[in-house]
Amino acid sequence: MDNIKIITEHWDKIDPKKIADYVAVGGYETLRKFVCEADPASALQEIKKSGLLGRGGAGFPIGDKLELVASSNKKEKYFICNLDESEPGTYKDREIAKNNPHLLIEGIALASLIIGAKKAFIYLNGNYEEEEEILECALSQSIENGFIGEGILGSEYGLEMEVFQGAGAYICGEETALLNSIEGRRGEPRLRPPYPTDKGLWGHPTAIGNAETVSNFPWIIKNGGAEYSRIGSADSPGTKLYTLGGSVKNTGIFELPTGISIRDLIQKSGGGMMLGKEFWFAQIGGASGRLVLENELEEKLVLKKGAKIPLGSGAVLVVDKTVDIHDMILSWTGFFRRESCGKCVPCREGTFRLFEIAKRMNNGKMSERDKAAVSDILWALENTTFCPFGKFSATAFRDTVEKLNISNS
Amino acid sequence: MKIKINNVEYSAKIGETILDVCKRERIRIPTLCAYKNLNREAVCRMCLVEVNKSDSLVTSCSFKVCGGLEVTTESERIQKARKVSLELLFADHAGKCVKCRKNRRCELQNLAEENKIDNFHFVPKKDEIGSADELDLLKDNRSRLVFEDNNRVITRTTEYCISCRRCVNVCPTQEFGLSRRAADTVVGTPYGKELDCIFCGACVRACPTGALTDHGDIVKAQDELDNLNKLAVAIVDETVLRNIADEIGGLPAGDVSGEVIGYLHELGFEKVFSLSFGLGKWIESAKEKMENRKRPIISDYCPSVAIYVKKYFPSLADNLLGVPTPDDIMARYIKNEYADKEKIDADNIVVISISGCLAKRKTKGRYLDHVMSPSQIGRMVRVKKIGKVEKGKFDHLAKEDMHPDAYSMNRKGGVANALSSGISDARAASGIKDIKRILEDMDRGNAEYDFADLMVCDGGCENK
Repeated sequence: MDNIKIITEHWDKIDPKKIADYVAVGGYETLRKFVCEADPASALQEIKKSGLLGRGGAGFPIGDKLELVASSNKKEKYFICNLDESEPGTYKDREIAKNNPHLLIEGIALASLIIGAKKAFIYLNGNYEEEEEILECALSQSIENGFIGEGILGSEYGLEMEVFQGAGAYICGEETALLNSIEGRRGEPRLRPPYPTDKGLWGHPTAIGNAETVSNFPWIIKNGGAEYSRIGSADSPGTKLYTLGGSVKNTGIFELPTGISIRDLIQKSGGGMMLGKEFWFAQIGGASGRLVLENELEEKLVLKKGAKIPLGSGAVLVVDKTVDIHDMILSWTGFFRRESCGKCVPCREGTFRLFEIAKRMNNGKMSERDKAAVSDILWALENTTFCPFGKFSATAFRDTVEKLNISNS
Repeated sequence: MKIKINNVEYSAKIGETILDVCKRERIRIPTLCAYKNLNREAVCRMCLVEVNKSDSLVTSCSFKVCGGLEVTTESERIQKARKVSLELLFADHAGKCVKCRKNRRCELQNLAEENKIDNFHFVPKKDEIGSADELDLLKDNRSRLVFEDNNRVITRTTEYCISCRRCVNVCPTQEFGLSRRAADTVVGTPYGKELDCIFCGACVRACPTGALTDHGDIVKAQDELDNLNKLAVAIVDETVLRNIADEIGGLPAGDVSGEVIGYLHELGFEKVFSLSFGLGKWIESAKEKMENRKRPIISDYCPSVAIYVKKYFPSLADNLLGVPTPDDIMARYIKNEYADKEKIDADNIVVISISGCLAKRKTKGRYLDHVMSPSQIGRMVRVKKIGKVEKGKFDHLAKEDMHPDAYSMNRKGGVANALSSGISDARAASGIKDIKRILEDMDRGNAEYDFADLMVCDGGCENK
């Protein structure tokens, strides 16, 4: 089971622009079985049984989310595949779209039919131009072949699917900001409740799932949820696409079971540190992720909410001791100062001031005034912002101050 | 249901927010973005409270009450949250108060004082930064600035803006929106165009800071008031006197007309006339006009309505009553009949109407020199440091100065009532939503009435 590949199995073996390649390796079989046997309820049960957690970062059980929308008796419902992926250092979703777009489309079709949606969107990051072309090509092929559209494969099921390209804002990966973006409003989060599963796109029940999450659907429905739940860690089962980057020998996307240790990921998949480089710390989950020192490398990578080291989007950045931490801080704070939506006071003003302070840092040293300011701003970002973005923007800076001890050096 | 706030039990209704209950029970929770019954945006984070249903702080303006809820409105954590947010806002605001038109009348400033904000540690001191950093700081702040006052009525300065979004939500014709993101967010008009609205002034009344203020022709007016060769005349509605008193501050409750007129004399107004003379003249000429006007007639007593109809329903422009505002009629009378009677050269008379209605400024004719708002009068009193004054009295243009119908014209339906002799059936509406419905109806030819009494401000004229 350790070597099982669910999402990356056919990468590099099939041509993403040829639907025949995907069909030849058994693609769209699950969808065919689903529409012929016509049993959304049991398919939903399989998803629930699998214990699959959302792969976007929050780790919410996708089965529960789908059930909330499926059980609604409203007529109009939507499914949205979240492919906004803008976490720095993360590029797993775009690789899915680029290498096997039909797997994604099949997954979205299954998810939509399970909840009874007649229309699905793929919300694509505005910077993903090549992926947009591939997805559009794949989508038109699957419509031609009767997998998507009215009367799927001759059944009474129908599904319309559309690629919607945003403008590349980080915040639009947040569910409610994404909804605003599709509706043509300003890309900023909405107040909850109501939750999207209750009042989502144009006020209708909407399920939103990450691209990697839904790409697991064909496998789960084909092989059963119980089988899936045996892969990887018990509390967040399945495989995960890890984006490994930084000072390791092999960088790239690795599909591995959840629950592996950070050390194993770096040593076995990454082939260890680059020659002559000494490990300093690793950042888990992109620019908004925690920093992990040498003594925490045995920590298991799981998606479960409340995990000590949240896996987030699955990005692992390995940093060696030659790196200038000031550059890193500038990069983090600059990113959040640029990407905050500007809605609430602590995040809009706080990220701006943090970046200013970062610019003033002299070889990682801060004045006493700035130290006090940083402590206040980080606290406000963690405790008072409108959406979780504030907390994310504080994580790396907080760990830098507390774990790396740089301001006292 | 029963909920507990600071360990005291209160009853609350389903659908209410914590802030709603606290407002009713007079429990102080500071707010910057929540305003009247507008959308609750929950962006200022001033109203954060602790609840037993959540570990984190929640915004009381958006958190709906539920059975068994226990709320704490003051704690160290809440105080810290407010303080940091206010300090962050002030980091961009420090040192600007003195030259701000809303100085001492600013909600942000009041909150800062209430919360004892004296720490500006987010802004570096001069010797703590190098010259390169200084340039950088300037650039960041400058890029956010939008200043516009070409419309004679409303001045916009994003320098003072705290992005609370009140103006965005309060504007009946949705003139404002947000552009850019993060710290570069700017509240403004689409594509940065010049403001060209119906000038109802709702945004100016709602703005908690000095970002949106009424246009500052105060300097020119001040010069003319100080000019001894000119006779400065004030036209003021009696209902406005109370508002002027509030803007001046320090005056007792109840009737303070005498004191306010005293202040006006002290500012340089030689004569103070009541607008009721103009209201009477307005009714007279309205009745005349109505006889040969296209029906149904749309009352343009509210000048914003006239702008609105011309802009959004140009096909109905001929249905407008077409009588100048009472202030204009009165100014014309003063510069003609009154000037002749008193043997004064009309060029040496300055007629200033004191009114909170901004649209009057937009539509004013050539006889009326300025329209000033009560807040501008208040500011002038503060600038001139006028202390105690002698009580004054209204001057009179004619013996039968007060028109009995004049007083209720500002109420919804008041105009139709005053003109009732010439009307068979009237419709009254206030607020853009209702106005729009009536005008759409009229545009389709479905109006079965002959007079529409419309006021842009919700609940009647806000001319205060």
